[in-house]
Amino acid sequence: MELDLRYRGEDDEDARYGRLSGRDLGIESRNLQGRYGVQGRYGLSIEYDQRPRFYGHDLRGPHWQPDKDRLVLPDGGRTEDLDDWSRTWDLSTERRRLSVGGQRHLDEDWKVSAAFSREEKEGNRPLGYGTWWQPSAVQLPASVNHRTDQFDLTADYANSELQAQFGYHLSQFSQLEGDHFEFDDPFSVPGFERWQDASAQKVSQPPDNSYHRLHASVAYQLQRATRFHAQVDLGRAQQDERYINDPGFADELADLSRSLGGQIDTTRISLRGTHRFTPRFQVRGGYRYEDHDNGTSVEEVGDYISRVHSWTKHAFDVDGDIRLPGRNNLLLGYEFSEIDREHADDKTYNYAVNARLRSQVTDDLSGSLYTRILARSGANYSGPGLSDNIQATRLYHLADLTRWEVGTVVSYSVAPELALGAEITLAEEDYSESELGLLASKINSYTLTFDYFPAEVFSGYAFVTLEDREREQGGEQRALDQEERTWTIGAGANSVLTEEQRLTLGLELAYMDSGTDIKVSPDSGGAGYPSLNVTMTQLKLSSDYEVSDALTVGFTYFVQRFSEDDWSRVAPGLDGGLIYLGGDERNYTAHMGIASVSYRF
Amino acid sequence: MSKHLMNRWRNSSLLLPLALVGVLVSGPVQIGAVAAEEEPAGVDVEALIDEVRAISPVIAERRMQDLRIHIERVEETAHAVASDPRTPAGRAKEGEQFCYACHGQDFEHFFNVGDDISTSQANEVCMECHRGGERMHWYGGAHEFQDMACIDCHNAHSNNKRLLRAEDQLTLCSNCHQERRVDFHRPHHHPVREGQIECTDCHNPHGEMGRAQLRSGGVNETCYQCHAEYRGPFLWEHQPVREDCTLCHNPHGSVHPGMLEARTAQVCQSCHLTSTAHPGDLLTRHPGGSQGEFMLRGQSCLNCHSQVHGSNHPGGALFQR
Repeated sequence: MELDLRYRGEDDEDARYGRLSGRDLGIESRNLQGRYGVQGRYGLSIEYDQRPRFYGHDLRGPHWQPDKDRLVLPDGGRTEDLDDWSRTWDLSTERRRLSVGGQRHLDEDWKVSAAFSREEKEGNRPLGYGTWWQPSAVQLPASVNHRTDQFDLTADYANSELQAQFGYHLSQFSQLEGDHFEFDDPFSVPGFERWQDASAQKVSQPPDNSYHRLHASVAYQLQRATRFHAQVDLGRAQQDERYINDPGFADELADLSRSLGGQIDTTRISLRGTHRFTPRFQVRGGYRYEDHDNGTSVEEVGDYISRVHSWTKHAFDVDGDIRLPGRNNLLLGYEFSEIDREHADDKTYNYAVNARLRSQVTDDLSGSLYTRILARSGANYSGPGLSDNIQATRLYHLADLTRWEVGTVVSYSVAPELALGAEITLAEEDYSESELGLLASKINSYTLTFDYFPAEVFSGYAFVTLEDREREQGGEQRALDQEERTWTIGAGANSVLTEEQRLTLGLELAYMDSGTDIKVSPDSGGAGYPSLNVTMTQLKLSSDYEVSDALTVGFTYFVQRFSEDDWSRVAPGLDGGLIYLGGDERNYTAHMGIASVSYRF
Repeated sequence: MSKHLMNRWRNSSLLLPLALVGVLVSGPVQIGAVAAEEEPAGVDVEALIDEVRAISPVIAERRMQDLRIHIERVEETAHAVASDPRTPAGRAKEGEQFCYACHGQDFEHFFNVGDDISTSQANEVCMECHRGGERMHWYGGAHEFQDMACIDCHNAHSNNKRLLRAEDQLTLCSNCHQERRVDFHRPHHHPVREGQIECTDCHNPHGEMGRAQLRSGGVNETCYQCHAEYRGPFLWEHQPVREDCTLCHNPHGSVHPGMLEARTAQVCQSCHLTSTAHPGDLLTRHPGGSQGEFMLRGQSCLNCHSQVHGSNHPGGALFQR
């Protein structure tokens, strides 16, 4: 269901406007927006937005929930009789956000604006808890209940030479159900004994935190062909909640102070200059400084040391835009960055060059060809280890890397009414010095488009895209190759019918088919990994009829067919040491109809 | 009639409609752009058509209906509000056509970039009024530096929100960013196709100083706008999570749950490989031990390590609680 009310009143003094629009998709997804103002003087806005996320219906688990932050097992239940002692769960979360805002034009050059929003997210989501010794694990219907408040205050200035913006942003995250939730651990009871003897465990919920950001931007035209831009951004994230008071970790708590006193200061400074030397040659140069200073104290807790991560980045870039004879442009660029991480044995250096040729070959044929090559001189992780498992490999975001990308985009007007397009992107990453972990990845994408618009009363389009992704990973005894192939096909048309052009019909069709194969070699010892297949087909039909100059009625019908074969989804119950909640087999057909009425007063 | 002039009118009235005098992102302009009831004051559509007829009688006759709609549409936009002195209509002198404010006196050009106007000149028309706010870093930004024109995305004669050339941002942006359109057709994606999020919630196409034209300075700060629970700081931090969410996630969409770049097991084992008999290790052969089956089901590694974004539990060093 959609609502759209618009108002406009204009006289010699001012132009008032108003709008109230909303949409209810009928699946707990709703949006309502209202705006009112006087153009060029002030504006006010209010918006309510509600969004669901569904994790699964009719899932089954042994836990019950007497209150939001506690999950208990039924007395008398046993893991052996799990099916008899499970209940059904519908897991979903919902976001609800209310935001209000306003802006005021102080004079021709100054404008101030303020906005506030409150978003609450509530529901349950699946969350795993387990230990690796047996192994054993249980999926829990964990509660979600938190709030995020955001406030923005901005002042804008603009004249013909100087533009500036100053702003403050506050984000406050609040946990509404306490800092943890508690649950009975069915595996705390030896064997398949009664759950009434199960001990309780605590899992942390995200703690309250706040973020303050001050930002200032300036753009100045030094002379007709020269511009200068600068931006300063100062952020501070803080978290000082008490640690989870878990009696099972009394020794660890004894090693800690009362609360974390965590603080991360972020500083970003960006400078950029552009100068057009001649009508055919323009240069851009920039420098960015980025510092993340994690001031949280390092804690030694039992066998572990907390990993307080800070880093500093410097980046320089310079680009040239050369207008070649005819309608051709050549862009050449170079970028260098240096990142100094606290937990790396060396700085990492990135060197990148890129080039793009844009060309209007003829009136009907245009396109561009581009390439980018990046080389990274990497480093090794040097911070505290969790165990032995990250020392053996070069972490891929730190490791030596060669990345190249080549692409082309072509558009050809076969006739004034018919255009064909093609886009090809080939990208490859090679972690040349890595022997374990991520070794290489590749993305190849091919797209063809077709646009047809013989008259203003008719237009049509179609596209087809094939994307191939490959990923190579190495282990000590095995290697893994993942191949992912996705076809996406779309088509649509709009047509205005009847002589008076009162009836408009629209059609959109989309089809996606994705298959992912994971091969582990040598033989995975019986573990088979069938293809992951996802297929989605959707059709949208829409119509609008102009009953009179003032009244328009419309109807839209939408249908989506979705199916998925996924080996990670298992039935609820105990399987190989893990108690699963199960998962919806995502195989459905959804229909939706939207009727609309529009009246102009 | 020369082919050139015919093209001018074909493009200006249908394919590449007339120019934009920018776009204000704030509410008033969106609203102002949608409705007008009265016959616009100070603009005589028939007189304008006569003027076009004088330039191109054949086109004017052949495309009279299109031309009339085209001219009338701009009257429904915020640019035609005469009581706002900032607009072309507000700046026009008594009895003067405000079309000239953008098209030049006596229709010097029709925004056919490369034919009757250059990209820079076309953009200057818009930037004369719209160089502040979100557009202050337009010059030298990714789109401007690649010689894009305002009218590549906007159309002052459009009746779409923000005067876009397409009905929604995804349709518009994916004209060039084809792969993004594909990403949003994946089963796990941000609800952009559903209309609940727009490209501009994260990106500023008019130019930013940082990476990928992100609005909030950096990748993680952008994500925390909606996912503030992961902001921390935490007692137990996960280095790549703290550094860049896109090291593991594809924010546009993926065939893998959680919008991960690959299945959870593969993502984790891009860094974490054990030499011990860890039951989840897919890539290490353990005599008599698990062959990784345990971690491929349910939530994979997250079956046990559910707090990979950070934990405040004193026993959360391995992100299990």
